[in-house]
Amino acid sequence: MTTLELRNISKSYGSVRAVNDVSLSVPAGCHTAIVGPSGSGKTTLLRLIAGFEAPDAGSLLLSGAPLADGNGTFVPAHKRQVGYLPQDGALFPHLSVAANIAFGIAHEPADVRERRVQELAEMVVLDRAMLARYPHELSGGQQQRVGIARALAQRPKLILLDEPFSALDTGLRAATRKATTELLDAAGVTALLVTHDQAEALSFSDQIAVMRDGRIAQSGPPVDLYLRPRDPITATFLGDAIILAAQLSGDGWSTSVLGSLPVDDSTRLGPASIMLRPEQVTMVGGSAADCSAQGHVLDLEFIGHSCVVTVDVAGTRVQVRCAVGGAPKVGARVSLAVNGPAHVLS
Amino acid sequence: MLFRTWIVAGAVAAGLALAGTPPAVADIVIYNAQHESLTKAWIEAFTKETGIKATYRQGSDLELGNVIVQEGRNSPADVFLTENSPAMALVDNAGLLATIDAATLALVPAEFRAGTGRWVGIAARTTVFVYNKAKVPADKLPKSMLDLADAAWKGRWAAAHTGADFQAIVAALLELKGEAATAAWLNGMKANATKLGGNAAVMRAVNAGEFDGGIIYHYYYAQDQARTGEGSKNVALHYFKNGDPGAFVSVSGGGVLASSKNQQEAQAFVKWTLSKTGQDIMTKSALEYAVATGAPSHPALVPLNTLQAPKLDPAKLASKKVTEMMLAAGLI
Amino acid sequence: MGVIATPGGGTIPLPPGARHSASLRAAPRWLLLAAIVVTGAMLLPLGFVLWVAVQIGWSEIVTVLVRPRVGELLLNTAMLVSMAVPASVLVGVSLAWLTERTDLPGHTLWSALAAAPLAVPAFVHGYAWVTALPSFHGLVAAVMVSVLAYFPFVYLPVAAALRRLDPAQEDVAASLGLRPMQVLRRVVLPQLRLPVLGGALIIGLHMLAEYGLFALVRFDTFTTAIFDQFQSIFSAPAANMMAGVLVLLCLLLLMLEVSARGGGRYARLGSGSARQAARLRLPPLAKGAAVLVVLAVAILSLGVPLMTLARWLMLGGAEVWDLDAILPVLGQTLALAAAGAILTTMAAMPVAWLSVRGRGAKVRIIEASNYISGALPGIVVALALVTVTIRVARPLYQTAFTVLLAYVILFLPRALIALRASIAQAPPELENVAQSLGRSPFRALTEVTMRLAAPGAAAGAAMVFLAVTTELTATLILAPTGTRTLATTFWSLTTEIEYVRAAPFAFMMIALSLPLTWVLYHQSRRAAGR
Repeated sequence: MTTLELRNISKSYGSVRAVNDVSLSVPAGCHTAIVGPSGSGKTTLLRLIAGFEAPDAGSLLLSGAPLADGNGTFVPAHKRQVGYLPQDGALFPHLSVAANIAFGIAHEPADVRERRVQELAEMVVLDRAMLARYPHELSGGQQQRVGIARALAQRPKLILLDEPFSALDTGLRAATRKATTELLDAAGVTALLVTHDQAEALSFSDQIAVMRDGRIAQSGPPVDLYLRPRDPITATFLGDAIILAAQLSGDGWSTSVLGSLPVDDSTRLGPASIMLRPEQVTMVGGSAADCSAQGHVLDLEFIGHSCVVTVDVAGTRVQVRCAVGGAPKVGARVSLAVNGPAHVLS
Repeated sequence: MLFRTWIVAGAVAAGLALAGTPPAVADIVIYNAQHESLTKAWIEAFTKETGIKATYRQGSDLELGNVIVQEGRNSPADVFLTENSPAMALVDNAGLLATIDAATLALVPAEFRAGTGRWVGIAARTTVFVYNKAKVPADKLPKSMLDLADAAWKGRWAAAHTGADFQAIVAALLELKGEAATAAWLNGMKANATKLGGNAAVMRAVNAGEFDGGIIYHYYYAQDQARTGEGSKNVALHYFKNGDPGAFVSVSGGGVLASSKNQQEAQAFVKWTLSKTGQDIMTKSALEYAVATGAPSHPALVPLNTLQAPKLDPAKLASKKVTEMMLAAGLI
Repeated sequence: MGVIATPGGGTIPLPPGARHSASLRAAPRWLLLAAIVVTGAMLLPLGFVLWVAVQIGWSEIVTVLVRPRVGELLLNTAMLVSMAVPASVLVGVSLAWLTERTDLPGHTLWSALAAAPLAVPAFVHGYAWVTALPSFHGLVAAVMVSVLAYFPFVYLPVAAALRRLDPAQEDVAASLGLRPMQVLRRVVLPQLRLPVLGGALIIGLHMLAEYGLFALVRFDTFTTAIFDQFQSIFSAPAANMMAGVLVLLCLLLLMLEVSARGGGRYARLGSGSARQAARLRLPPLAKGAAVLVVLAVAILSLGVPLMTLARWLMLGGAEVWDLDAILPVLGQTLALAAAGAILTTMAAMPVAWLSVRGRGAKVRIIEASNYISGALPGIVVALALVTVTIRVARPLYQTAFTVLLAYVILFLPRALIALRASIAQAPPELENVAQSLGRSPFRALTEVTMRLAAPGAAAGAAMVFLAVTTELTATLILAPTGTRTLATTFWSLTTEIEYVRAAPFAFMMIALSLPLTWVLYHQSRRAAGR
C-alpha cells in the first residue's frame, strides 16, 4: 500500500525551478531518504509535502487522498497530520518537555494527554524526570528524541525529517540515527528524510531518491543505488568511486587499464564508463600473478582508519584503500585485484 | 499568547484608556481660557453651592475660540470663558453664542459687556507698563504706548506677544488708531521688543533687570505683591491713562454656546461668576477688577475709574485682522 | 532610512533582507492587511500635510512661507541643530572614551552617571535651568541645555560600540608602529561612525520636535512657532504649512544620516570578544583633567536639575503634595501610558513580523513608512489629527481614541525595534512545526512566535509607556476634556510660574523614568557581552 504519492510536482520561485516534475511513491512503513547537494530542491520538496508551500503543478496524495493538485485543492499544513522534525529539533523553548510533546494533542482530555506523553517518553527512552525540564536543559540527542516524540504524538501517517541529525556531533549522530530508525520502525510510521549526507541516507532508508537541479536523478533501494548508479555524478555522490574508460565486449566482460573485468551488463558493446567501489579493489605489493593490473604508488594519504593510495596504472590514476599497517611507500610497485563485477554507467 | 490574549489585551487597553480619560461626569463643559487656577476655584465653589458639576478644557483664548468655530453646532462646550474679548467676539460673530439671560446682563455695566447681549464681562484687567525702578527714572517713562516703537526703546522692553492678552491690546490699538498706525507700531515692536512666554515671565525678566520695561496686565504685579513680592520688588507699574491705547482695559468674557444642551446650567454658571461669591473669589485670588455693579475690587488696586481707559465696545475687537498683521510683521 | 531611535540611544541597522523563510506570498493575508492598516494610520500626518498643501495652493504657500519670520525660524533651527548636535557628539564620545578606554578612577560610576540624564525629560532640564538662572536664555541656553539633556543618546551607543570593538585590531595597529593617540584616531574613531551617526540623528530629530525645553529657554524653533500659532489661530494654513516645512527638515536629517552612513550601513562591529581592550593609562595631569571633565558634565546634566528640583520641593514642603490633586493625575497618566503601550505594541506586531519574515519591495516600503512617520514631531501629528477629526471624523474628536492614535503614530518605531529583534530570534521553523502539529498559521504565530517575542514586546511596551508619561504637545492638543497627565499638569503650572507646585510632577516623571533608564543602561552593557 502506498502512503505518499507525488505526481509530476513542480514549484518555482521567480524564474528558479526549485522542484521540477518530480514523481515519487513512498510505500507504507517505508523509510525514504531524499538526498542531494544543497540547492538541489530537496528541502523545497519536503516543504511541499508538509504543506508549508503549495506546488505550482502536479498532485500530491496521502493514503490516496489528494493534498494538493495544482488546480485549487490545497490542504494546509495544519490539516495534514504530517509529522515534521526539522534540523536541531526546533523544540518550543518556552514550553517544558512534556508540554512540547503534548503540543499536537492539545484537544485531547488531560488524562489522555498525560498517558500519551508518558508512553512516548518511554518509547524515545526519555527519563520521566526530563519531562518537567525545559529544552535548553537537554543535550542535543535528547532534544532530537523529544522532537520525534512530539511529532509522533498525533499519530501521523507520515513523518518528515529535515536533516535532523546534522546539528549533532559525529559520534552522537550515528547513534541517534540508529535509535531513530528503530523508533520509527517500532511506531510503524512512514518516514521521509531529507539530507545531504549520503552515509545517513544509505543507513537510514529502504529507498533513496537522489535529487539534482530540482529533479530526481535516480531512486531505488540503497544497495541498488550504491552499486548501480546511473551516472558518474550519482556514483560519486553516494561514495568514493573509481570510474574508468573501458571497452565492453558484449558478453559480460570489459577491458580497461585494470585489465579484463566482469561487468554487470552483458549486452552492451563498445566504449563505456565503468565504476568500481574502492572496497572492491585490493592491493598487494610487488607483482602478483592473480592480479589484473600493476602500477606504482604516486601518493599516500593517511585518513585514520585506512590509507588512500593513489596508484598510477598505465597513466591512469586509481585511488584505492589499504590498511594502515600494510601501506606501501611512494614509488613502490603494487598490484591490484578486483572483486565482483564492475558497474557500467549509462 | 493565544488569540484570547489579544482580545484581553485590547479590552484592557480600552479600559485603561477610559480610566485615563475620564468621561465627563459633569453637567457642563467649560472651554476655559481664563487662568486655570481661577476657573478651578470657581467650579469648586459653584458646584458646592448649586450641585451642578462642571469640567473644563484648558487652552488659550484664540485657540479655544477657533476650536469652537471649527466645531460649530456640534461643539461639546457649554460655556466659554476668555481672558480677553477678541476670542469672544470671534465666536459671537460666527453666530455660535446664545443670548445671555437679561437678569445676568443687568448685573454688569454696559461698557463691560457685548452690545449684542450674547456675552458678558466676568472680570477686567488694565494694560500697564511694568518697569525696573533702578533702570528707568519716573520722568523717562514713555508718555504713550506708541512711544515704545521709537528707536530709543530698541532692545529695552519685552512682551508676551504670542498670547491673547497682548493681541487684545493690539486689537484695541487697531480699533483706536487704524491699520496704518498699528502696522507701523508692530514693525517698531518687532525691532525693539523681545518675545517672552507669558506676562509673568515678562515681569520677572524686568524685575531681574534684563529689560527696562514690558507691557503686561496689572494683576501679575498685584498677585506677586500679595504673595512674597519677590518677583516684583524691583519694579513699579506705569499707567498710561489719557485714553491711550496703553490704558486699554480688557474685558474677560463669559458666554453660553447656542448649541449647548444644558442652557439652564450654563446660564447659571455665567450668572454665578458675577455673584458676590464669584466676584470675590476672582478679586481675591486673581486680583483682576470686579465688573459686577457694586462688587468691590481688591483695595490694593488703583481704582478702575481713575485709569482713563479709552472708550471701546469690547465686542468690536477683532482677532483675525490682528493675527494677520502680527504674522505680517513677523511677530508670530 | 537606516536607523531608528531607541530611548537608550542604541541604533539598530535594518536587516539586509529577511533570511530564507516564509515568503511574502506565504504571509497570512490578515497579517499583511493589518500591517497595511497600521501603516496607513502611520502615514496620516504626512498625508495631511500634503493634503493641506494641495488645498491651499502654491501662491498661498508662498505667501505663508516666504516671509522674514520663517527665514528667522529656519536660521534659528539650523543654528541650534548645527551647534548642539556636534557638541553632543563631542561630549558623548569623549565621555564614552574616558569611561571605557582609560583608567579614569571610578569609571563604572561615571558611566552610569553619563546615562542618567535620560531619566530627566528635556523640558524638566529646561525648567531646572530657567528657574535656577532666570536670565539664562536664547541660543546659548538652548544649545547648552539640549546638549546636557540629549548627549546620552550618543554616549550609550558609542560606549557599547567601544566595548564591542575587537582589541586585536588595535594591537595590530600598534604593532604597525602607531602611537596610542594615532590608534584612537585612525582605528577606533572611524569605527564609531555608525553609533555616532545614529545618536546624532536621534538628537537632531529630538531638537526639531522639542517644544517645552525651547519655550522655557525662550528660543524660537519651528516647533515652538507652530505651537504659538496654534494657540493664536488654532489650525490655520500658516501653522499647517510650517508643519510641512518641519516635516521636510526631519526628512532632510534622515537623508543626511543615510548618506553619511554610505557603504558602512550594514558594517557590523565585532561580535564581541573574550578579551577586553586594555585601558589607556592617563598621565596624572591628564587624569586630573579627565575627572574634572566628567565631574563637570555630571554636575551640569544631573546636579543642576536635581538640585533645583530639590530646592523647589523643599520650598514647597509637604504642602505641595496635595494628594487629592496629584493622585488623579498620576492615575490618569499611568492608565493612558499603559493603554498607549499595549496598543502601540499590538499595532507594531504585524509590521514587525512582516519586516523580519517577509520579503520584497512591499515589505520594505511598509517598514520604511513606519520609521519615517515615527520621526515626525508630536506637534505635526497632533495638528493633523485634530484637524482631521474635527473636520471629517467628528465622533473621534477629543476622544481617548485620538490621543492614543497619536501615541501609536509617535512611538510605534520604539515598539517595532524591540519586537523585531525578538521575533528575529524566534526561528521560523517553530511556526512550521506548530503548523505540522495542527495549528493554523494564525495560532502558530500567536502561540509560538508572539509568545517568544513577549520579552521584546514587554521591553518595547515599557519604552512606549515611558514616552507617553512625558509626552506634552500631542496630549495638550488632543486629549479629551478633563484629562490631566503629569506632563501637561507640570507644563500648565510652569507656564503660570508656579514652579513650586510644578516640582512634585517633575519629581514623579523622573521617578517613573529612572527604572527604565537603568534597564537601558544595563542592556547596552549586556549587549556588549559584559
